This record gives sequence, C-alpha cells and structure tokens, in this order.
Amino acid sequence: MKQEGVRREGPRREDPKREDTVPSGLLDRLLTAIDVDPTQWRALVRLAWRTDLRTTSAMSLSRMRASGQEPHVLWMYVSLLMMGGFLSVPIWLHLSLLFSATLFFTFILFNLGSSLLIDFQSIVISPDDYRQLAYQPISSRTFLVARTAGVLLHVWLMTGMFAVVPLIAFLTASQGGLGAVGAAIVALLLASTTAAGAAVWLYAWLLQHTSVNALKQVLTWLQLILSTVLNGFFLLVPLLATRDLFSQITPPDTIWVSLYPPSWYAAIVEIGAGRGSAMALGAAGVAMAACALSLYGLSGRVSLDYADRLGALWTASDAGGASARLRRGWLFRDHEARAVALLIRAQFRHDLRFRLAVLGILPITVIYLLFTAFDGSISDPFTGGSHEPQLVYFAVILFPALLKQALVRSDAWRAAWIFHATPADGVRLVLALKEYVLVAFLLPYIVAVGLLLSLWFETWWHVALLVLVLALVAHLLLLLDLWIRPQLPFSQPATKGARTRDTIFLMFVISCVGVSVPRLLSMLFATPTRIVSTFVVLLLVTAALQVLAARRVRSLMRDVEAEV
Amino acid sequence: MIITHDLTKNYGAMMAVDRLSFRADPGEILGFLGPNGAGKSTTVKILAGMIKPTSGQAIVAGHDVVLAPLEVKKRIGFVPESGALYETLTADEYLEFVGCLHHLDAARRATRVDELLDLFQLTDVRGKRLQEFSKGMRQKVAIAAALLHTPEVLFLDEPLDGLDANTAMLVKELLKRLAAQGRTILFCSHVLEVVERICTRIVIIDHGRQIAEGTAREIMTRTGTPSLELAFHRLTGGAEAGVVTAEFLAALEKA
Repeated sequence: MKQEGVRREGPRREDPKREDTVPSGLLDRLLTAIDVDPTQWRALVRLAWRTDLRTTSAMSLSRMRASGQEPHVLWMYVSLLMMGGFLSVPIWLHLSLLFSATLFFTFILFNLGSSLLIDFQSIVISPDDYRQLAYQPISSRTFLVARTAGVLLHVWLMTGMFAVVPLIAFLTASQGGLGAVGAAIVALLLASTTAAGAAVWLYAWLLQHTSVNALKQVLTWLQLILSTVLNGFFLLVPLLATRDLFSQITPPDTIWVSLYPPSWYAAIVEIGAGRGSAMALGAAGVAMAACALSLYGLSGRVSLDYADRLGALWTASDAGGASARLRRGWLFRDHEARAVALLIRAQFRHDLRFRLAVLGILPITVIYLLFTAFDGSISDPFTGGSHEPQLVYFAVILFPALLKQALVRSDAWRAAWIFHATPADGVRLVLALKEYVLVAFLLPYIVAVGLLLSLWFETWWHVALLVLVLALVAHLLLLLDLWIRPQLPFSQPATKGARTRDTIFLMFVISCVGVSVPRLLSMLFATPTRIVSTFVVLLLVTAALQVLAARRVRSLMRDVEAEV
Repeated sequence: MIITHDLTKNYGAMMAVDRLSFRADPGEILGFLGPNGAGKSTTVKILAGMIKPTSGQAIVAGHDVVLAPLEVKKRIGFVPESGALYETLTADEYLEFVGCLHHLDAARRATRVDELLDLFQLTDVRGKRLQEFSKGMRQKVAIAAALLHTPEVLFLDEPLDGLDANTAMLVKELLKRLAAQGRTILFCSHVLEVVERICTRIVIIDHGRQIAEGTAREIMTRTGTPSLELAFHRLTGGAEAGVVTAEFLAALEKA
C-alpha cells in the first residue's frame, strides 16, 4: 500500500520557499551523503528524545508520587549501574583479562539485545508517530536513520551506565590500565552500535519481508525465543557464581573462541592493555567490520521501503474471531473477580505479547530441567543428594511474580479509567488478579512441573509435596509483590526500560534466593514432623500476609487517582 | 443532583479548576462548556470520583465525592472524552465486565446488555472484539456501558463524537427522555448547536473559573449576541475570527 507523505525518494527537492539546508558540519555532510535531510533528521531525533523523556516522566510522575515509586528509566539506569558493579568482580578478582572482558561484553550484548528486542522494539516498528508524520515531506531513509539514531542514543546511555564500574575496574586491575580503559570505551561504542544497528536492521527487514498481518505474530515469537534465551542466561549466571565457576574457567586458547562475538570486543581491550596477538588483532578487525556491516545494512533497500511498510502496518486491520463466552463456574463468582477473569482471559486469547509472556516460562522450565539432568540424574530432596533441580525451583517460585509484571503493564492501560469510574472495590480487584494468577496459571504450571519431575523422582507423593511447597512459596512471593506494589490489571503503561529494570531486579532476587532454597528444602524434608511443620508455617505465614497485604492494598488504593 | 461549592483543583502552580460553584437538579441537562484546557474534563473527573479536588466540595447524587466516592460511583454513568476501552474484549464481554464492576447480578446484567446492544443496534456485532469496531461503534459501546446500571447522574464528555447522524439523533433523544425521568445529566461538548438544542441550562468556564451560567437565551441576552456560538466567543475572549484569518492570509502571502 502506497502512503502519502513519507516518501521513498531522497530529500533533494526543488522548492523555492523551502529553507535552504546547506550541509555545514561533518555530521550534516555525512547525512547528506547518504541521502538523509540533516534538518529533518535533527528535528526527528529531538522529537523522539523529548517524547521518550516526557512520556516516561510525565506519565509516571504523579503515579509514582502516589505509590512512592521512582521513575522507570531512573531505576533502569540504577539497575544497570548495579549490574555493572556485579560484573566488575571477575576483573577485580585478577582473572584473565580476556575472560573477564569476554564475560563483560557477553552481558553487555545480552542486555542490549533484550532491551532492543523487548523494550525498544516499538521505536522501530511502531507506526504510532508515523500517524503524525505520514503527511510530512520526509523521505523514508531520513525517517529510518532518525529512528536508528533514537535507538542509538538510548543504547549508548544504557551502555555508559552499565560500564561505569567495570571501566574503573579495568583501570585499577593489575592486568588493566589506562590503555585498557580507552580500548574498552572504543569496544563499548562498537558493540553497542553494532547491536543497535543489527536490531534495527532486523526489524526493518522483517517489516519488509513479512506480511503485515503476520508481522505481529512473527515479532512476538521472535521475542519469545530471544527472551527465553536471555532469561535462561540471566537465571543461569547466579548458579554459575555459586558453583565458583568464575574462578575455575580460563578461556580456551583456540581460534574457535573467535566465533563468539563478545570475544571480539574483549580482544580490543587486550590490545589496549598491550597484549595484542595476531588473533586479537583479527578479532578486533571483525568487530569493526561487524559494526560497519550493521550500519551499511540500514542504508540498503530496507531504508527505502521502510515508510511504505509502516504505512501498511498502520492501515492494516487487526481482525480476529469471536471468543467463546466465559462460563459461570464456582470460581470467580464475585463481581470484581469475574470482571478480572473476563479481562485477563480476553487479553490472554487476543494479546499475543501477553500470551507469550505467560507461555515463555514453559520452555525456560524445560531448559532448566534438561540443564540439571545433563550432567547426572536429578536428586529427590527427600532422599538427599546434591543434584536437585534448583533452576526449576527458581522458575516455579518466580513465575507468578514474572506473570504479574505482564498482567499490569499493557498498551491498553488507558482503558483502566473504568476501574476509577465504577464502584468496583480496588482491593478486591487487586486480590482477584492474584487469585486468577494462582488458579489459571500457577496451578496448571505446577501440575506440568510435577509431571516432568515425576520422571526422575522415586514416588509421586515426593513430587506432590515438593511442588506444593514450591507453589506456597511462589504464592508468598506474589503476596509480597502485591504488598509492595499493588496495581490494577492492565493499568500501567509499558514504558521503555521497565521490563529491562524488572529483569535485572529479578536476577538479583534469584541470586539471594538461589543458594538458600535447595539447602532449605533438604533440611525441611528430612523428617515427617518437619514436613508437617513446614506446611503449617507456610500456611500461617500465607494467611498472615494475605491479611496484611489486603490491609496495605486498601490503604494505598484509597489514594490512587485516575491517570487516564 | 450535582452541587459544587468552591471546587478547586491545582497541579502545583497550575490552577485547573478555580473555586467552581454550580448546581444541576434532577431532570436537568446541564451544558458544561469551555475552551480547550478550560478545566472541563478535570471537573468531570472530580465529580465522577476519579480524582480528588484540592479544596471545595462536590455533592453528586446526594453524596460527597471525597467522603463517599464509592456511593457516588454507584449512581453515576461516565463517558470519557478519550473513549478508551479494553479492545481485546467483545462488545458483549465489555458490557458484562462493566456490569460486574457495578455489581449487577448476572440476570440483570444479561437483560441490560441485551437491551442496550439492541438499542444501539450492536446485537449483530456483539461477539466481535472492540478492536474491530469503528470509532462510532466504540462510542456506542461506551455510552451503553454508562447506561448499564441506570444511573441517577450522567457525565458525558463529547458523547456524540464519532457517531453517525442517526445514532447522534438517537442519543440526543435518549438523553432528553432520561432527563424527563428525573436523571441529572452533565453534558460537555464543543458543538454549541447541540448544546443549545438539548441543554436546559449552561455553565461556561474558562481558565478553571466559571464565567457564565443560565439558559442559552439568558446567556445570549446578557452578552448581547444572537447565538450561543457568539456568546461563547465573547465570554471566552476569543480573537475576532475575521481579523485573525485576514492577518494569517497576509502572513502566508508574505512567506
């Protein structure tokens, strides 16, 4: 579909009334050379940056004030700073510079990848601002290059925050020095630019080669696969840390290491530290070539078709079949509970992003189970043994909390005015959200995990007791989450950086819970008396927290005002 | 009934609503007018119990909006300007969802949903998701949702926006009959002809402050203008349209 306004041709037009845009600086000349209008480009980048900052702050500030939270973007940067601190440990531990730098760039690339795929996808794909700009005489390439610049600004800022502590570590570590720091900065710029360029190219390419109706499906499945890899990776790291792998691993001295992209950037740091080998020089060359390639890719055909495809995406209708009615059962009979059930069910059926956020935990669980079973049989905590499926425990315990994130953030958050204009009880709505998570998602998930574990465990009741304890602990964490952040369903905007921040935060939580849970389980399952006591204590704590959470939700919801 | 007394809402230094005092009695359709950014939507949100005033008092359907917001919400219907709905729900499901939030029992909910879908000629598309609806159809659903629990007071912010001529006529007639039944309606609109035709009384605000109140005729007499449009123009200090357009065209010529 051909759209008016944003055009495919270059910016050079004959218009006597138009302000003359003679390229002045180096950047202007560069932009003009690739057929990008520098004036428009600057205006678009400024617009995108202002919009992001203002949307994030304005949309959130009054809500933040009410709930005592901090803005998402700020928290994301604080999380990145903390994560950078965590990653500087191997550098300070005097491990091999190549290894610690490779680990550092692995994290950088994973983190950037996840943000680009999850949080910043909309910068490239969303036709939202295109609606306002479609009528303006902007060339397709100018539009794409401006959006790429917007992504790059975010990415550089994120990388900068992430790298503060590791750069200090590179400066002070025995193998580092000023040269290593300078090289690390160059490598960071190359890595982040390559990641951003590749991600934008991937989206623009998908936009070009996928039918408009299939695009949302393709993007969401892509997100599922990549976020599964990413979450799996993030959850694996604390385990590696607890197994002291940081101090055992040394990089294999083989050319095959060069096939691992983070090692290319690590090689640049090595060169900067004065340890450049021929292999390191080659790897650094590859890093530079990758960066050039990712930017060159954007100047190709994808940039010419970009505006047309966005236009098609904008005008495409999103038709879908009718849903079966929600039957009245014995569950969710209460008014608020039924309203929440109706809403979540519809979102699950028709909002692919939400559905995949829920289903995404399943492949992760299977991966963890296989990861544990890979180097030996899985131990039953009742019979002892040192090979318990810890990662599966983490997945079960964190599933409801992960789910709650997906349940409160939505593109449809503006429709949440209805909760404020009706006599619905806010406390009941929030608690109904929790009950629905428990019944509709956690229970089937627990059953599935139980079935999987029964393949390794000796008796079925061991499995039953284990998953019951895990479910109770997961429920407790969910209650705790509600106690800290009571939120109405689908009432929060999916702001940029929020998911990145939450994922990073969860990684820290896992690091804390990770070591204690398996040891605790073996201890609690040692005798029948302890097992009974465990259940009694868990049930009592659950009941107490339920009451406390309801009380706190009631007091907080009283002050919550409509934001929409 | 709606009564406000010195109702004020400020956001820091910005005064959105400034000591607003007016009343609307049962059976009245009160036109609530003002230029863009005058504070109409903020006032309506305060009256609907969605946001709290900084000071002053508002009584809606016999209840104070600050002290008993839930009692107010039980008795009001609201159509917001944004018209945002949960679009993954079907029309049927959305009305059931709103019915649940209003604590209507299942039988009454089903009856009311059927009646309203029928009234707004949405029965054939009741199973379709709102995502597939046109703007006008969504607006019909929003109005139906506001009427679901037969409210005493209705707050309608640009309710005719996006509706086709036939549905707009239906809504106007419906509002007149609802008022005749003794309900109170606060009607915000920029379409002054409609306001003039259906509203029994009008309140005009500007910069959060009330600048006129009375019937359309009273306001026109007071301002010495032959139409509500000109009265509004004079009261809200809009520049002379003829002069502005002439200046604009001259500037355009120069460029």
